Amino acid sequence: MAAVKIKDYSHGVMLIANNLLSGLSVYLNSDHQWLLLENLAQGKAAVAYSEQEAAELLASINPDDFLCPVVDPYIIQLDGNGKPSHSRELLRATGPSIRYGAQATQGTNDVSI
Amino acid sequence: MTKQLLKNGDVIDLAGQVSADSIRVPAATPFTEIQTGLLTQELKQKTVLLEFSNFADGRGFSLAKMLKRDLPSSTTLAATGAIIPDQVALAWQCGFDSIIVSDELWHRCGPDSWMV
Amino acid sequence: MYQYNEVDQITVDDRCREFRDQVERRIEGTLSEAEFKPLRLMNGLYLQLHAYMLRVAIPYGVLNSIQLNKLADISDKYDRGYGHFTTRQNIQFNWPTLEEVPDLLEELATVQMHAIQTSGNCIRNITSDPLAGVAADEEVDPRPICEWLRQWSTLHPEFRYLPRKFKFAITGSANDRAAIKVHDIGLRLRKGPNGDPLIDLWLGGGQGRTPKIAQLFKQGLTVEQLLPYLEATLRVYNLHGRRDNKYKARIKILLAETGLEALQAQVQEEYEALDKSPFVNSVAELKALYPHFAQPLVDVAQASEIANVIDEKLSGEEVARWYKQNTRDHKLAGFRSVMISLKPAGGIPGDATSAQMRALAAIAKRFSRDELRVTHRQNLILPWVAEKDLYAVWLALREIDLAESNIDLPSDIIACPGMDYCALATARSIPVAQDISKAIRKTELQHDIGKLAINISGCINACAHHHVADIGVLGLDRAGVENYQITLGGRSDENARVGERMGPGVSADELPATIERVVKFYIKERRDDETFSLTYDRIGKTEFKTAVYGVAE
Ligand code: SF4
Repeated sequence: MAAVKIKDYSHGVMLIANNLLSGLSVYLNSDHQWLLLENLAQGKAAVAYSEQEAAELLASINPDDFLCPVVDPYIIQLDGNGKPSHSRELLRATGPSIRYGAQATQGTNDVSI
Repeated sequence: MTKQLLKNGDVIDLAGQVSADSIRVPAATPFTEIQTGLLTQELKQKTVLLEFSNFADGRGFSLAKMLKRDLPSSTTLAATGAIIPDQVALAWQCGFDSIIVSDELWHRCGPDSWMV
Repeated sequence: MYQYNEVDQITVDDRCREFRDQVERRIEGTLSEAEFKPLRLMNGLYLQLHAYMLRVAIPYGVLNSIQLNKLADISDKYDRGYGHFTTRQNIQFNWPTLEEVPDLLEELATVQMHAIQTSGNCIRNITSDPLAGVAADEEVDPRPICEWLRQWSTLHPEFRYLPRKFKFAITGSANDRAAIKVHDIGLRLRKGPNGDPLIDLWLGGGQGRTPKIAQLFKQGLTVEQLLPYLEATLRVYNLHGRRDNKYKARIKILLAETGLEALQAQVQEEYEALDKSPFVNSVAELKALYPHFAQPLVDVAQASEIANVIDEKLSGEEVARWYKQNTRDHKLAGFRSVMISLKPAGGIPGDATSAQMRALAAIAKRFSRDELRVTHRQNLILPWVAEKDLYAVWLALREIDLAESNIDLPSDIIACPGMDYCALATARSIPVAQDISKAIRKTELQHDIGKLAINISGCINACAHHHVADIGVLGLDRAGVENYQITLGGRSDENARVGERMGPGVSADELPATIERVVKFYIKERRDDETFSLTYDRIGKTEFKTAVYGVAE
């Protein structure tokens, strides 16, 4: 989907995508593996600090290869804490901000991002 | 080699040009223009090639239905250009008599996928 | 309800096989994502923010218990135990995996369901009055025509690659509950001279970036004329609809740019020229559908004996309120339609868990002739409940937390999935719907407020119909912060109109209080039981705007 234009590389940028098979949001870690974005806090993302590095990072996964294990990869900006700086990507990383399914009406909806 | 698909499932190899007495019409041409053009002179043509510019552009399917009612039965209406295998059945249902597939497209989509 | 014939079943089964093959080719790497994407979309499979999303068609919103049980099983087996009913009377699953979707579709096909044409630039699932065939005020039962058009439009070879998606809505009642005037084509069925309906065709309604109310395009079509006339209309649209800009590609723009009379003339000309021979059997086919929707025979004695029994049991405060708010007059004496609110306190508008689905299937089977409906307000209906069973139904619904008496009240909010799920969203809509609902419930005024539609869309695509709500809310992104724009005075009924936009948007935090102010202002100003839109008209935008921003208080 439409990537947000990167304005600031000072905190670095990382690569996210959807896993082709599961559809789940994933990020590229420093060992060049795709891991679940919801577990970002426990992992270490591959981070680029310039437009050039970001382009190299994107190229390194061969996004146009038919066998590429992810779809719709794009670069996102990070904040000072290594989290996505834009609310949309933060929401991708944390999952829906509401309780859903059997949990929906149990207790109050005080989950926030 | 360009391939020509026929409604009965036959595939013909076309070496080079389709046929001399054919006319190529972009599927984006307004119907009235095609109609006037064909009525004035080219109705004698044996083949009208309706050329799809983009597979997401379905104008050619409607044009085929409209053209079929004006063209003499001796004229072949063929679809060509950006057609994908998933559209072959639609083309037959809308009245095309044949589909001409470029060599590149034929191989990229895989020969099997064209056989509906 | 309609049961598939052999052709329907073969079509759906073939499509399952075809899609399984396409998925395999994608996974093997012989199909690129660019090639695969339109194919998966044609089968209702989207890639959303967190995962794939599958949209399953529920034709004109009618379901039986076997189908609902299957949807429950699917949500357990392939999803996370719940499903989301949409404003298009469909259901969406939010977490299926690509590998499993072919199995999922195969299971759906066993109960005569599919996801064909729930996406893409084709004729989408046809929607209708959720009380079709049971409403007391109905002139013509629209279901046979809905089914007829479903068959006509499903896999129509000519209209699979239109300039843009195309939506139909159909009603047979003067009180429009299908919002036909905000659809590409809305059909209003009226009683005709010899038992067959006459059809008024409204064209060019739509929401999104450029909201438009449909215009009366052709009056009094006969059933003989309908299919060829629709074919001519769609053909003219297919040829002349704009393909250079997707925001200008809907038929509403073609109508605006061509002009009503000129477009009518083009359609008429094509209608006269087109070959009618494919339609020679179509009216007979329509008539063959009538028995599928025949009025059930009712035991009159049994029906009339009920009145005494219910009055007592239904007199408790809670159940009486439910009866008043959630049940509707019926075509048949001794029956009522029961509306089930999918907007419980703290819930997600339109969501139902698998356990709720199973329980509802059982209730429908026992008490509602095995039938349920999905409404465009994201609720469900039991269309055939005998009055004598109402109390039992209420108890059963209360067991599964679905007896909330808020149908059409302010907490019956329409909310699209918004940024919690949707890749196109610019802001969240579910949590703000929950906050607004909480604020309104706190006032405990809901039942005094009466009918009031609050609709919340998470982006300009307007899936939640915010333009035509009494109070519409549109979520936008202002420099990375969610911001909500307010629209007032819209209507989606027979007097449909687009609401007026107030000033600058408000933050998510301010939104509940803002809505509360508008609602309180309305209650203060209204005369007797004047509706919101009438009060709005009488008092005017300026005053309401003051209420929105709270300056006056
Ligand atoms: S209105 Fe926008 S955010 Fe909401 S479901 Fe539609 S596209 Fe998604």
